[in-house]
Amino acid sequence: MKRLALPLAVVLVCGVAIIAQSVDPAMLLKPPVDSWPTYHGDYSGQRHSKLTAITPGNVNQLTLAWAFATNQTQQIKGTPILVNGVIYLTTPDNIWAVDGRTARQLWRYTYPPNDAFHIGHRGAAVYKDSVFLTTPDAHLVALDARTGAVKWDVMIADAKRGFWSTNAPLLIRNHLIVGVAGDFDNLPGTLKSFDPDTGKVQWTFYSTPPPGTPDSISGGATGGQMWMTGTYDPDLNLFYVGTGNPTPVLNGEVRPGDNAWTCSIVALNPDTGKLAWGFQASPHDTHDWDASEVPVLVDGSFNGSARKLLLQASRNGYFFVLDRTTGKSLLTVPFAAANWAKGIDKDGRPIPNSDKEPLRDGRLVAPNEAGATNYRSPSFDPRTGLLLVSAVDAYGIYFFKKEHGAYGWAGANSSVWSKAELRAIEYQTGKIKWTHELGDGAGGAGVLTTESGLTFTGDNNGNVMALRTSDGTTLWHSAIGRVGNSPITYELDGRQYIVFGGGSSLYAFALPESARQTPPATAGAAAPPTQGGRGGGPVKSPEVAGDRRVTFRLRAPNASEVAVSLGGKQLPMHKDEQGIWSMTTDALAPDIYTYALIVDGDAMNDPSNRQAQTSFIGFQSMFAVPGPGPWLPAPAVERGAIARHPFHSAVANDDRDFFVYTPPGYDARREQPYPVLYLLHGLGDDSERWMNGGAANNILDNLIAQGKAVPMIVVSPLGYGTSNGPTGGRTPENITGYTKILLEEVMPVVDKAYNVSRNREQRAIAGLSMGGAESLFVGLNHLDQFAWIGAFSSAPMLWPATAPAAERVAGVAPQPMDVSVFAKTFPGLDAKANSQLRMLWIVCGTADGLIGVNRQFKDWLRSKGVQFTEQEVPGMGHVWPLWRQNLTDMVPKLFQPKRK
Amino acid sequence: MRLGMVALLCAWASALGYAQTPGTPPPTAASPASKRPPATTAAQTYPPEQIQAGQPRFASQCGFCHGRDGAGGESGPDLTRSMLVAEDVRGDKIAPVVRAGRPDKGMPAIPLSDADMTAVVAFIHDAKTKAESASGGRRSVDVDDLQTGNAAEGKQYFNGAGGCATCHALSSGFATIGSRFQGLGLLQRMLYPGSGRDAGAAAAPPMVTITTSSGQVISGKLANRDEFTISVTDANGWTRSWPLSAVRIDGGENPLRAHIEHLAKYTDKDMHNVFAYLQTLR
Repeated sequence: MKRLALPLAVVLVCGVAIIAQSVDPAMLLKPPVDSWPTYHGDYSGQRHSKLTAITPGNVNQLTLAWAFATNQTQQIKGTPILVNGVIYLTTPDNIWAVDGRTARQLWRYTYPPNDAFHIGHRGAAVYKDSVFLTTPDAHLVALDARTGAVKWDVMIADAKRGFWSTNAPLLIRNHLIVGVAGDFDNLPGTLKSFDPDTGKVQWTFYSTPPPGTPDSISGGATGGQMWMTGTYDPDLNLFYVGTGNPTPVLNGEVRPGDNAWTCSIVALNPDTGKLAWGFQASPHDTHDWDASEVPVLVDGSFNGSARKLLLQASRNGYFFVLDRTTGKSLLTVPFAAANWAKGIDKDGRPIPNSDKEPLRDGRLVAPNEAGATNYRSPSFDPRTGLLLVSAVDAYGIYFFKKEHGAYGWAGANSSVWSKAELRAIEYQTGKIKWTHELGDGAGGAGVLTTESGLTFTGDNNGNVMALRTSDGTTLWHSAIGRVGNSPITYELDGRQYIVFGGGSSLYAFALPESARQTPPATAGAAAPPTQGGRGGGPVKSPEVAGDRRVTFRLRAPNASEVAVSLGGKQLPMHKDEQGIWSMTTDALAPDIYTYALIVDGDAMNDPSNRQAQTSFIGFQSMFAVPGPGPWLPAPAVERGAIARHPFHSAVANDDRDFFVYTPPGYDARREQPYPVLYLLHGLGDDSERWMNGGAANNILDNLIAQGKAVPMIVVSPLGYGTSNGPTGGRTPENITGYTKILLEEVMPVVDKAYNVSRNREQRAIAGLSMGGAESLFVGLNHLDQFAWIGAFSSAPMLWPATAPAAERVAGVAPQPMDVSVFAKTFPGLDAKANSQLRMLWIVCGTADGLIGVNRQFKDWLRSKGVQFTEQEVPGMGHVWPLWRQNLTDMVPKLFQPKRK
Repeated sequence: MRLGMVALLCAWASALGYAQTPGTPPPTAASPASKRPPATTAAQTYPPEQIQAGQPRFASQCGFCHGRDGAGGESGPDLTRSMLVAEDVRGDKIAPVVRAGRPDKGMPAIPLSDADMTAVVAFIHDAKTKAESASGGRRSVDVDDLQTGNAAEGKQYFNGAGGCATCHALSSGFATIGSRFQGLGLLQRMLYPGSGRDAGAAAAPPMVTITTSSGQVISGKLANRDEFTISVTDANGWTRSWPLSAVRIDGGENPLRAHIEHLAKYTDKDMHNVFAYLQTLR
């Protein structure tokens, strides 16, 4: 809205009755969102729009806003441009001005019949009130943008010699830069700059100077036509454009050497046409691999420093990263099948293998003549650092013999097979992050990305699609016919449009006007009639990628809203066409995580994930992000075992179990019995919790492997003294019953089943919360059995002597305890215990509501002269990460010999 | 599981059948690009002004793909060696193709006026006459060009390292492949059947079995498949489509997968040796 205000004011002052943004050069430096004013949308060639109205969450509602049929047979291959609400669309000989809101034709101009190739057309250019059209017979026509009336018509190059033009010109200040094509004949690579007001030639650049020109470095080659639209860096004042193949095309014998500057990226001064630098993507090309593909300009970090970069996924199958200030190579790596190079030279150029040059008996070469990619534009998504390229794995056979001559094509070739995939290339490494299949044959569609994380393109089966940029998942599609151009987007009246060329028509998609503000709650209603969670096979969830980003998926075609609850946040998931919801997190730190899926407001575990943290009443989905960390399995570390011991408890009169960890290499016949740690869980947990959520086995494995801990047995029993589980946890019988079960039912079994010591010096008991209270209760009352005691975030109000019972509730911040409870709980405990205790460790986070009662108990111990070690962890609450750390800190201290 | 096995067997049988049985329609022509152009069936003459008028029309509408002289371009066939052109009489074969296009091969429909069509037809026939009198086509690949392989080594590769014999038993159809295809057509067929204009028909579409959500089972030939839908032509010739998400699919694997995988494995020497061996299968 701000943008409207200024032109309006100007208009009022001038008294002119039009409201129009003039396409002046300054506007091209920063195109407004209600325009797509030049072939690539802006000078960078990124084809990335800042528009965010259409999102991964609402893109499945995209609907047809309008269609415009050219009623021609020519497929639309050009990128339409949009200024002043008017779309300018081209095919060979034709340009239409179409209302960008209604698709109503404003005017059409048809160039007079001519005999040059009518192979395709890339698009128009606009400057002030002129629109420019290049023609098959290599003329440049300036038309009145309002009416289509011809202003002037000049020849770019001589069509009689074999030049033609499909080019969308690029305007830089007052230079209109126009290229031509012409590789059916041996013609010099020619690029011209015209005065957009008068049509006068300002300069001509020859990529291969006309034969006989002094100082030519092309080695006798002609060609290197610049038929694609380039890009421009205003800061460096450099114009970048790719050059085409050399001629004769397949006969390399008559043009020895590298044939500069064919199959190259060249940087020119747009004011003079002088070459600043050149980089040859294919030295001595003999396969028709123009390096015409868009030189995409990116300002980004490379090897840790900020650089001005130029990216090109080239027709020869290689991805190039250059420093665009100097033209020096930073990275060269293949992004598609390529078997023609025998290495990369010191300047980053692939070295052609002469055995793959066309020969009389044929050479099987990848890519084929159409290349690993072609003129359809890639898109760079700055948010993810991905260059999205319509890539082709293709094979062809190439022939050349003397009889083919040295003019024009001069050889024979045929394509064998090819397959297209959209590939997401990480610009810093060239690694392919994901691929999305587009079908057999070469891909026909260019790519557009938006700041909301969407990628738009088309496949080989007549579908246009919206994909999620981070992982390539399809979120929307429409079968409009085969896309032959690169999609664009713009916003008019606050409504975002996505425009594709399908066949010979133009289609604009937008969100339904009624749904633009609030997405309907019944988005799932249109899902295909499959059974939720069943049809179509399993989904993988969660998927932890190598970059530590985690993807969650859920098949729920009828759900309206799904989110992941992770780390206290609800992360929205998005539904694809198969009814599968998904989302990918940012990179997570290596650790153990729990999460839930929130489906239409209800939390559920992830049905695709068998990893879970258990509790007495259920379980919670979990996953680990691998990496260094005390409770993550280190690679190549010997792992211990976990055994489950079911038994009937006579004390509680229920069936229950305990879990036993044995260290790696556990030896049941070892002469020296193993020490044993009884490790107790908290209220609500179950006997297995320390093994899954607590990762006790990983912690022990790692510490033992590092030599920091003595190999020991760890026993984790169910911590409830009655059959009522956590409900009974607040009754006085809970801890007394539990003590009996441990001492009379569990320990005798352990002593018998395992090679464990019965010496108190070789027994430890530790636990968290309720388990901490139990450890203190059992340990301090049975010093004849245990010499090592650990209490993590313990809940002393659960001790049986607490009265009334309501105070035993392990709340966030329980009331201060009646200190007389301590004496009742530990009658006779005093300084005499110090000689028996090898360890009494009391630890609690300062943000834990239990810190107060822990401090009360410690004060009481001090008053009794009982020595202990304590730790108060700043800022930590009542959480598992602390307890895993507590165990990690405690285990190395256990069972160490007495210091003399 | 059982369904899957049956369908898999079907696809496998189809791939084998393709190789072993003469069910594939016999190719109508050996590679025209590998030998002298086929002679024009019915001699025709055209007035020079018609030919002259056809030249620019042909150049602008057809030339990029077929070459300005009709002898083949970047993607279109050499019309001077085309069987269709040889059999054409005053546009009776050419005109329908021009008007309808060949969308499956990437040729658009080109709506020429009757006058322009007549002129273009005249130009093509004239180009053919000129090509017949010329020696060594500019873009030709002759059978003689391809004789650099060693048939014995090719046979060894075929039966051994190449793994070709796994699918191709030398019985019935395949045993005479060298008599049915020659030169470039044979080479193209060897690399990927259906890939070249003279490489014969592509493999028969694989069989596929669809199980709908209501439990209905439909088997037929795979007609099309993309990311979203699958189309099957049943035994009665009806083609039906389903969204992929709504059905279970068994079978439908490309029987030529081994050919695709082989493209990355061939050395040029192996390729020429196997070609030499296939020429001996007559």
